[in-house]
Amino acid sequence: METSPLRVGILSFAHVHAAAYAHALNDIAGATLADIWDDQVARGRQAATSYSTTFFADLEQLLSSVDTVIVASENVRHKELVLAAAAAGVPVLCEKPLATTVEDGLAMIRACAAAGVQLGTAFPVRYSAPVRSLRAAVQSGMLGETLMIRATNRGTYPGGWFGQRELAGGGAIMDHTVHVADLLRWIWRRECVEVYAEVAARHHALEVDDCGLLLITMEDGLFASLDPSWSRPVDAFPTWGDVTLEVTGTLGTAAIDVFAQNIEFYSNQRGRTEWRNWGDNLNRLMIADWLSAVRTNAPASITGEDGLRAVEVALAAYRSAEANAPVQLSRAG
Amino acid sequence: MRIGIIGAGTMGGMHATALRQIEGVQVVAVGAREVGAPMAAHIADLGCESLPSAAAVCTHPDVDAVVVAVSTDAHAEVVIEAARAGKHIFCEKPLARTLEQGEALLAAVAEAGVKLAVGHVVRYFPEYAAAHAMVQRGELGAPGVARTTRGVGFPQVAGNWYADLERSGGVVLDMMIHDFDWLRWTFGPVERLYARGLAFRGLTGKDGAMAIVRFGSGAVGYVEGSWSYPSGFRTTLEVSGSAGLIRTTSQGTAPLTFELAPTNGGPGVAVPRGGLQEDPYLLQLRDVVRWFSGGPPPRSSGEDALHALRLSLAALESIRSGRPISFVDAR
Repeated sequence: METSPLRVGILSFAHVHAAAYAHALNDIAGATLADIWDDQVARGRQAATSYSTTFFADLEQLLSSVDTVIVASENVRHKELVLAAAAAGVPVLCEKPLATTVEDGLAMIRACAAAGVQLGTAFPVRYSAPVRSLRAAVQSGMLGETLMIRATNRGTYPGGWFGQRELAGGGAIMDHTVHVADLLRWIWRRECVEVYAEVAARHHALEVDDCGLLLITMEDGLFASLDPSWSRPVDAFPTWGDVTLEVTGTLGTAAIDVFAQNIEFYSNQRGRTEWRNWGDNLNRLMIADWLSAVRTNAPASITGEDGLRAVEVALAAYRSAEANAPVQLSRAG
Repeated sequence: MRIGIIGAGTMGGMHATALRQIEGVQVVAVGAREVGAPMAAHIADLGCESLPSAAAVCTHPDVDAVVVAVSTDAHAEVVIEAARAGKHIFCEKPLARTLEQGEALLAAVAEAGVKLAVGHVVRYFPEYAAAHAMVQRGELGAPGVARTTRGVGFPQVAGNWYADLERSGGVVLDMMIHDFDWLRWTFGPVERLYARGLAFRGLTGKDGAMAIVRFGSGAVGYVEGSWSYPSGFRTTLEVSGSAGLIRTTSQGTAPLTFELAPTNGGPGVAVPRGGLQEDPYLLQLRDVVRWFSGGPPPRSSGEDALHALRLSLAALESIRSGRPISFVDAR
C-alpha cells in the first residue's frame, strides 16, 4: 500500500547535527524535510534555501503542518521546543543531551506522555553495526562476565554556543558524556550507579569545561572509564573525534572504534590530513528508525527516559568534580 | 665495573643481556636460588660464578655493584643487604612492595653512602622521552589530558608470585607504576587520585585497573594497566594541550612484526622489544653504570621511585576503599 511521505520539520539549526539530519532525510524514502523553524531567522532562511524547503518564523504554524519534528536547538532550548511539539500533538526526536537539568528532562518526558506523543533521544551510535555486533557478543557471553570498559568520546571543540554556559548547560562533559553513557546502559543492560570525575578547562579559553575524565560504576560492580574531552585540535585533527570502547571480560577482550572506517586523504591543496568516513550513515539509520516508530505509532527505540538517564551521568560528573568525591546516581522519574 | 646480578628470572636475564653490551662492565656473579635456562646460558657464556643466594653476591669481595631483579616483596631486604655491604645498586621497579619498605630501603642506602638507581625504564623508551621533551618545550601549550595504557598477558613465572597481591601489588604496582612515574616526571606532582580495579576481588589470572589523576598544575591524567592481553605487550600514550595533541602506540609503531605458527614458548614475563639499535634497558643500564663510575645521575632517582610507589599504593588504596586519595605536597 502506498503511503504518503512523512513530513518532517527541523526545529532550529543551532546544533551542528541539524545539517546532517537534513542531509539524511534526503536519503530516506517515505520522508521529506518539510519545514524549518529557527529562532534566528537568517540561519533558518539559509537552511531552508540550502535544502529547498520552507522557513517558518511561526513555530505553531510549522507544528500544524508536519508529522514529526527533530529538535536541534541549543541544549537549554530543547525543553521549550519539545513542550511546544507535545502541546501540538507532534512526535519529537530531540538532540542529545536531552536536557541540561533533571527537572527539564522530566518535564519533557511528562509533557510528551500526557500528550500521547513519542519522545525520542538522538543517540545515533546505537545504530552502528559494530556496536550492535559488540552488544550481541557481550550478551551472548562470548567475553564471559565483563569486568571493565575503557571508553572515549573525544572531539574537537564545536565552537559557538557550545562554549556558553547559559545555552549549553556545560561544556565537554555535557556534550560528550551522554553518547557513551547510553551505550553502556544499552549494551550491558544495567544502570550507572556511581560517578567520579575530574573536570577541567585547559585547551580553549572558555567559560565552560573543555576536558575531563570519568570513572563510572554500574550495577554489579562493572566499571568504565570515559574521556569526553574536546581535546582534538580543531584546525589540525583529521576528523571531528571518536567513539571507542575497549572491553575486558573474564574470557577475553574486545575493542571497538566506531568511526574507524576512514580513507586517509593527504592533499597539498587542503593541507590538513582528512579522514573521510565510509562507514554507515548512522544519522540516516537513526532517523529512519524514528520515522518507522512515528508511522506505526510504536514506542521510540531510544526514549526520553534513555536520554534523561544519560544526562544524569553527565550531571553527576559535574557534582563529583565539585565535591572531589564519587557521587551516587538517583534515577529521576 | 664488576657487577653481580641477583635474581635469575626474566628481568635478570634482560639485564644480563644489556650488561654484556656495556663496555667496561664485567658480570662476575649471578645469585639465585634457582636458575632458569636463559640465565644458565649467560652464566656459561660469561664463565661467571653461580651463587645460591643474594647474600653471597652482596658480600662478594669482587662485586662493585649489584643488579636486583628478585620478586617485588624481596626488594627491600636485598637492597638493604647490598647497601650495608657497600655496593652500588640498580633495583628493578617497583622500589618495594610497601611504603615502609621503600623508605627503609632509601634510608639504608643513604646511611651506607652508596648509589641506588631504580628501573623506571619507560623514561628511556624513546617515544616516552620524546613526548616528555615536547611537553617540557611547551610544544603542546598548557597540558590538558594525558592518557596512558599498558597491557600484556598475566605474567607466568616460577612460584606464580605475581598472582599474589601481597607479594607483587598486582598490575597497579607492576605495570601502572611505569606510567605514574612518567606522568609525574612530565607533568609534576599529583594532587588527587581515584582508581577502580580488579584487585581484592579474588579473581584468578586476572588483573586490571584504571586511575584518574589530577595534577597540581590543573591538568588531568588517565592511567590504565591490564593483564588481559595474552597476545602481547601493548602501550598507548596521548597528551593533549592548548596548542596540540600527540599520541603514539606500541602496536602502531612496531616496525617489524612476525606471525608464526603456534609454539610452546617458555614461561616468562612479556616485555616490549624491538626496533632500535640499542634497547631502552641497555640505555638505562649504561646511564646507571656511568653514574656508579662517577658520571652524571640517570633519569630517575630513588626519590622518584618512592613517589611512583606512593602513587601506585594510593591507587590500590583507592580501589580498596572506593575513595579518592589526596596528596598534600602537590603544589
